[in-house]
Amino acid sequence: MAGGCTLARVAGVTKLGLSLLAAGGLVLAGLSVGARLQRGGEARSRAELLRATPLQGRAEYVGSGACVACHPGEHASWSATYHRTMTQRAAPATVQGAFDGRRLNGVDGEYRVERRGDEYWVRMVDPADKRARAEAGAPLTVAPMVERRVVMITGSHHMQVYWVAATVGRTLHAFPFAWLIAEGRWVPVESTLLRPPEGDVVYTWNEVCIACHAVAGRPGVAEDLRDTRVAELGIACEACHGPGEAHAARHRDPLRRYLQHWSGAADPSIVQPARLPAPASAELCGRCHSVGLFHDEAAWRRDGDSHRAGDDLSATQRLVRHPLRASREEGPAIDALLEQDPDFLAGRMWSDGMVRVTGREYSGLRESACFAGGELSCLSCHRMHGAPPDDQLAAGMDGDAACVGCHAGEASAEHSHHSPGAAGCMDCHMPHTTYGLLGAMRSHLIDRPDLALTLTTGRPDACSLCHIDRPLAWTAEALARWYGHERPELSALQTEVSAVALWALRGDAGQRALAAWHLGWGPARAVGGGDWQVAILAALLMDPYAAVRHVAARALRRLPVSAGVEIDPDGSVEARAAVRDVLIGLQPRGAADPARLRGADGGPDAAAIRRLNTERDERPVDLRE
Amino acid sequence: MQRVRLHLRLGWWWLALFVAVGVGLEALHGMKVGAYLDLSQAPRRHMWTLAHAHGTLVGLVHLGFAATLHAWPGLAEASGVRLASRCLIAAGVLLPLGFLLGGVWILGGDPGLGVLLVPPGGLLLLAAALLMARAVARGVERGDP
Repeated sequence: MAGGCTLARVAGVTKLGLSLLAAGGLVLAGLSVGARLQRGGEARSRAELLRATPLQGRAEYVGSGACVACHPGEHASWSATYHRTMTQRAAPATVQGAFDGRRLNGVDGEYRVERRGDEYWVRMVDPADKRARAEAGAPLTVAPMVERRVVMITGSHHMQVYWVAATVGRTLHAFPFAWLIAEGRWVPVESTLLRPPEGDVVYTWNEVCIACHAVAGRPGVAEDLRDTRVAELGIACEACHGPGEAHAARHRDPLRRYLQHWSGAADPSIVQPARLPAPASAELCGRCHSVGLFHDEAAWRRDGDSHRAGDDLSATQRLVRHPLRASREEGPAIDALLEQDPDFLAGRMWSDGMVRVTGREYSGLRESACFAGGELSCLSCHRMHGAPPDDQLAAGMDGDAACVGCHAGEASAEHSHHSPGAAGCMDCHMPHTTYGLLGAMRSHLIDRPDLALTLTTGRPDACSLCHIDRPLAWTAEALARWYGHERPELSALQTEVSAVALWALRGDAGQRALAAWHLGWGPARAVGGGDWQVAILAALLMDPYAAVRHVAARALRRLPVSAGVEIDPDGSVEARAAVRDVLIGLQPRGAADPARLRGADGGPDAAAIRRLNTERDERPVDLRE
Repeated sequence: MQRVRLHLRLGWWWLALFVAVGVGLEALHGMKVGAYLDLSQAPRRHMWTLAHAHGTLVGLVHLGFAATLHAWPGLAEASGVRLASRCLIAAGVLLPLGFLLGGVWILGGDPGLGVLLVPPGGLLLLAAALLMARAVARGVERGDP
C-alpha cells in the first residue's frame, strides 16, 4: 500500500509539475505573442506617422546624424536649442500638451484631445472640408467632426501647435488649439495671434511653416496633393552650414581631416557662418529672420527654396523695406506689393519702417547704423552653439558688454544720465517694441529714444517703457534737459497720465499688448511700481483682442497682488468681468496720483480708466508674426 | 626562463598600471569631470577607455605568453618566439600609449596625433600572435611537448 501511495504521490507530483510547466509555457507563449503584437502595432503606428509627415531626405543633404561623429560637441549644443525642436514628429518625448481626454470648446463645436498608447488623437472639425467650404464661400456651421491623429508639432519653448494628418498626401492641418507651455493651458490658436477676431482659420504647414521650420523644405504643391519633402525637420546643421554631403564624403579620408585640422583654413566643402564677413553671416540668419518674399512664389511652392547657406539671399528673396527706408528703385515693387496686400507693411512694421513683429530681426538689424558699419552681425551677440537656449546669447551679451566693444565711451553715467546698473545700453537703444508669441521682445533696429517719432508712429519710447508710471511730458523734459531734444507739443492727458497707461487703455491693439507686457515687466515694476497697474490690466481682460487679454493676464500673474486669482483670458465675457472686478478690488490703495490713475481716495480711478478705455483706438491691427 | 620572468613581470605591472588607469577613469566619471564626460569630449573618453582596455588586455597577453613558455619550455627556443616576444613588448607600449596620447589633444571629433602609434602597435600585436600560433602549431606537429 505504502508503495502504491508513493507511486501515486510521484505520479501526482509529476502531473502537477507537467501542468505547471505547460501553464508556464502557455504564459510565456502568450507574453511572446503579446510582445510581438505590440511590436507589430508600434511598427504600424510608426509607419503611419512617417507616411503622414514630410518625406525626409533631399539630394546633397545628409542630416544632422551624419555630423555627430566628427562634431560631437557642436551636435550636442545644437541638440539643446529650440531650433532643433522647432518641428518634431509627435511622440511621448516631444508632446507637451495634456492629451488627457478633455473637451475643448471651439468656435464651431466641441473638440477633444486624447492619448491612445503612444499616439495622440483629436476630435475636430474636418479641416479639409472646412477649408474647401471656406474657399467655396459655403457655410461652416455644418462642417462634420472627425477624428485625426496628431503627427507633427511646432514649437517647444513658448507654445506647441499640433498638426494632424490629412487623408490624402502629406498635407498637415493645424489643430485649432495650441498648448501654452508656461501656463500649461489649451488655448485657441487664434487667441495667440494679435489680429481682429475672425473666427477659426485652417492653417496648412506645407505652405508656410516649411519655409523656415525645416531644412531645405520643398512644399511640392501640385493641385490638391502635397508631396512635401524636407532634408530634416526643425532647424538643423545644414540650415546654417549648407548641404553636407560633399563635406562628409571629403572628410571620410582621415588624411584630409587632419590636414584640415592643421591648416586652420576655411573648409571649402562647407559653410562656416562665423568665418563669413559680418553682412553675409547676418544674411544667413536673415533668410528666415526677415520680412521677405520669394521672387518666384510658384517655383518655391513647387520646388522649394534654391537658396543654400552662404548664397546671396537677394538671388532668391526680396527683402521688403518700408518706403521711408527703401531706395527709389524699390518703390515700384513695394507699390505692387501694397496693391496686392494693403496691410503687408502695417502688419509687420511701425509707420517709420521699424519692424514691430518678432522673428524679423535681420530686417531691423540691417536698418541700424551699427550694421551699416559692416562689423555687426547676429553672431556678434548670439551663439548657435553653447549659449543658453533662451535667446541664445553669448556670455555677457545680455548686458552692456554687447555694446562697449565699439561704444566704450558711451557706457557711462554722463551719457546715460542713469546711475551705473540702473539702465543698460539695450534698455534705451533696443527697447521691447516688437510683439510676438504673446509677449514683447527687443527691437533689433538699434536707435535712440525720440519722442517726435513716438508721437508720429505710435511706437512706445524706451523711457516710458521702463518708467511706466511717468507721463510723456516727464520724458520730454528729461530728453530736452539731457540731450537737447526739442520739447514736443503734448495734450493734457500726455502731460498728466502715465504714457504706458494711456497706450494700454487708449492705444491700438499692438500698443495695448506692448503696454500690458511692460506693466508686468520686472525691471519696469522695479522702477515704476508694481501695485497700481492692477486695475488697468484688469480692464484689458475685456479687450476684444484675445492676444491682448492673454498678455494682460500674463502681466497680472506676475503681480504679487493678483496671486491666487484664476484668470482665463478666453473665458466668457461674464466670467472675465467678474475676475476684472475681483482684481480691481484687490489693488492696494496709495496716495492719490493722476499719473497712475489713482483717484482721490488712493484707489483705482475707475471712472478715468473706463473713460480712457472707451477712447480705445479701434482701428484693426493684424500683426503677422 | 629568463623570458618567462620578463613577461610575468611585464604582465603584472601592465595589469596593475592599467587597472589603476581604469580606476582613474571611474573617478573622472564619479566626479563628473567635464573635460572627460562632456559630449564635446567624446573622442577623449573613447581614446582613454581604449587605452585602459588595451593596456589591461596586453598585460593579460603577457601573462598568457609567460604561462605558455612556462608550460612548454622548449618553445622558448623555437623559431619566431623571440621575435614574438619583442613584438608583444613593443605592442604593449605603443597601443595604450597611442590611445592615451590620442585622447590628450583631440581635434574636434578626431583623436590627437598620438593615435598614430596605435596602428603599428596593433600590427605588432597581430605579428606576435601569428608568430606564437605558428611556433605552437609546429611544436604540436613535432609531438612537443
